[in-house]
Amino acid sequence: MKLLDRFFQAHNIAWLLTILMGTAIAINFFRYSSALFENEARLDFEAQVLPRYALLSTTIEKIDLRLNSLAGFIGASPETTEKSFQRFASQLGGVQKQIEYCWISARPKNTLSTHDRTKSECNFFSPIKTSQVFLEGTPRALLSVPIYGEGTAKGFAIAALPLHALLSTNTSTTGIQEFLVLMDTSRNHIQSYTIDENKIVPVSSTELGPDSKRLTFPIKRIGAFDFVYTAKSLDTGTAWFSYGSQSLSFLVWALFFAMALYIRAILSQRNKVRSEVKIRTEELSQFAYRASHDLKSPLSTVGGLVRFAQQDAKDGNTLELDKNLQKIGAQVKRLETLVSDILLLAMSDVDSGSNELVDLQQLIGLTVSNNAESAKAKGVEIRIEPMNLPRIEASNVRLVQIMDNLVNNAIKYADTIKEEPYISLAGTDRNKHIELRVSDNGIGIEEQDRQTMFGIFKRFHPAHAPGNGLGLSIVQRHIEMLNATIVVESRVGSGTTFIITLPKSTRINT
Amino acid sequence: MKIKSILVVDDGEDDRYIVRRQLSQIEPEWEIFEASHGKDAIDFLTDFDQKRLEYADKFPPTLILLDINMPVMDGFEFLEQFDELRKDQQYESVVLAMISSSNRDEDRQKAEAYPFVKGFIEKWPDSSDDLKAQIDQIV
Repeated sequence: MKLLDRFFQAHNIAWLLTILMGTAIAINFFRYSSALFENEARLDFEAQVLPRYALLSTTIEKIDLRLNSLAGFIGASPETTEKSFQRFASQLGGVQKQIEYCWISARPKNTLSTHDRTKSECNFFSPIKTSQVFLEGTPRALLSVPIYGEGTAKGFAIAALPLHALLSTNTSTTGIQEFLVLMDTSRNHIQSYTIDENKIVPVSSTELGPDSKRLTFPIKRIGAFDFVYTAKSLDTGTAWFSYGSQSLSFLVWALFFAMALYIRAILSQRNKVRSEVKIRTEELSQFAYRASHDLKSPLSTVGGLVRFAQQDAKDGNTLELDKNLQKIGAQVKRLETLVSDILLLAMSDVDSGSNELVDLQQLIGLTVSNNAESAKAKGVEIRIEPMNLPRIEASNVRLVQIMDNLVNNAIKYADTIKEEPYISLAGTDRNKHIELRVSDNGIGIEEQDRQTMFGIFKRFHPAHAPGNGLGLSIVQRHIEMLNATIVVESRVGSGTTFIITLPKSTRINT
Repeated sequence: MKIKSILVVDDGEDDRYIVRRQLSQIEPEWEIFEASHGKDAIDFLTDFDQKRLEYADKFPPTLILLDINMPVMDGFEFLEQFDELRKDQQYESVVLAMISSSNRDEDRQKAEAYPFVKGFIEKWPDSSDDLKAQIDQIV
């Protein structure tokens, strides 16, 4: 358990570090990328936009002058007034037209618009340099928007801010929406308008957030509105947001998401570990119960038999006494075997780490000679098929126990009714691994039993032969520790074959 | 109730020997039946009429001494099956007692949940007198 705790803690810390690193990287990415955008927009603006705006600015100044001077003309002769007005009006009209129709567009090049034809007239506005920025998974337009202002524009904050202060869309509309946006920096107020049947209609107004960048230049009044610029959104459903909060909210979302993933991963890992622990605890308690019972039982039997032996001795009943003493002896032997098998089972789980170069043919030969006597006693023939096996690196002890157990079982469950009961041992070199086969023509194993046969204390034919049901569990553990596999094929009445697949190098687990 | 016969269900040959010897010391007249696991016991108990012919009033056994840990069909599985069998009135009089080297409370409770299980004998009583005392309590 302690080991588990330690692992868990270390794991935790690793995750924490990862998430912190991830956050740091994310923050820096944003800073860097936004700086990139800013830079790009700034350069763009300075190089292209400013000069044009200087021009527009001058034109509007002229109009302004005209307007002022117009006032002076009023009162002069109606003719001059009218001419002045006309001239002013046409100038104004021209600019208005420019402004009105000359959309600063974030449209991709392949989109057609009715306004395209007026682009040629639109020389006061630079084409928007746009880059698509993906935030929160949906494309946004990053617009570098020229800003009209008196003299040199002091800001291009817009450019660095995806859609900041440029667009507000009516979320119920689909497709590309065109808006007029007016910015009144003195009031820190954005008023957006839309064109509706050639009329300018207010849409919404939003205050700039504390993090938003401000435009710091005054705006010229032209006619009824403080006109600055227009912009168009590629993506509908975008709301106003300021740069700071946008990136921050993204960061928060990213962090939240990452945290959620992390927590989920941690929880599922913890659950997995917990359920594994639960299963192991169950297994252990099952084993403890069975083992203790199987140890207690022969002891209680011996107790009973001893009392009888005492009685028989007292009564002078030597025949019965002798029988009872033999029974006691057999029970004690059973107990001894069980204890040693329980120890074997416990040890089979332990990674002793010792490997040697094993000669499999020799090993098989040894197994056969170990079991020769009991095989002969039961009339079972053991055959060794010719084989050509290389030496492999593995735990000799484990292999010996596996082979011994399987051969022992084969003898126990041999079908003595058959004329020639036999056990056959074969081995094949299959390049990447070695295949060992232990076959017999014994009583066979039922299909449902094949599922549970490797479990502890599983016995299916208690009358047929003695045993404590631990043999195959020990085999199973050894197989696992050798990184090998074992498969059983059997037919009741015909016989059984165990197929063991041994990797040539079993470095991993032994 | 007067005991005429006892069925001992236990997978240990030596254990069956112990019971048999002790029981015959208590009362040599008792007929002792043996079964090595639950299934054998059920098989023995079914087919009432046939067995009646063979053993007369010694069938069904007055008392069944039942071990818990047995292969093929263990004690609890036997109890389940016997519960079914008992729906046939002819088996109603049969009394059961568990015999086990296990003294776990949960085993006790599980067994005594059945109304026909009247006792729990721990292997093995020191003497036949001891066993007699326990059996007297049960039957």
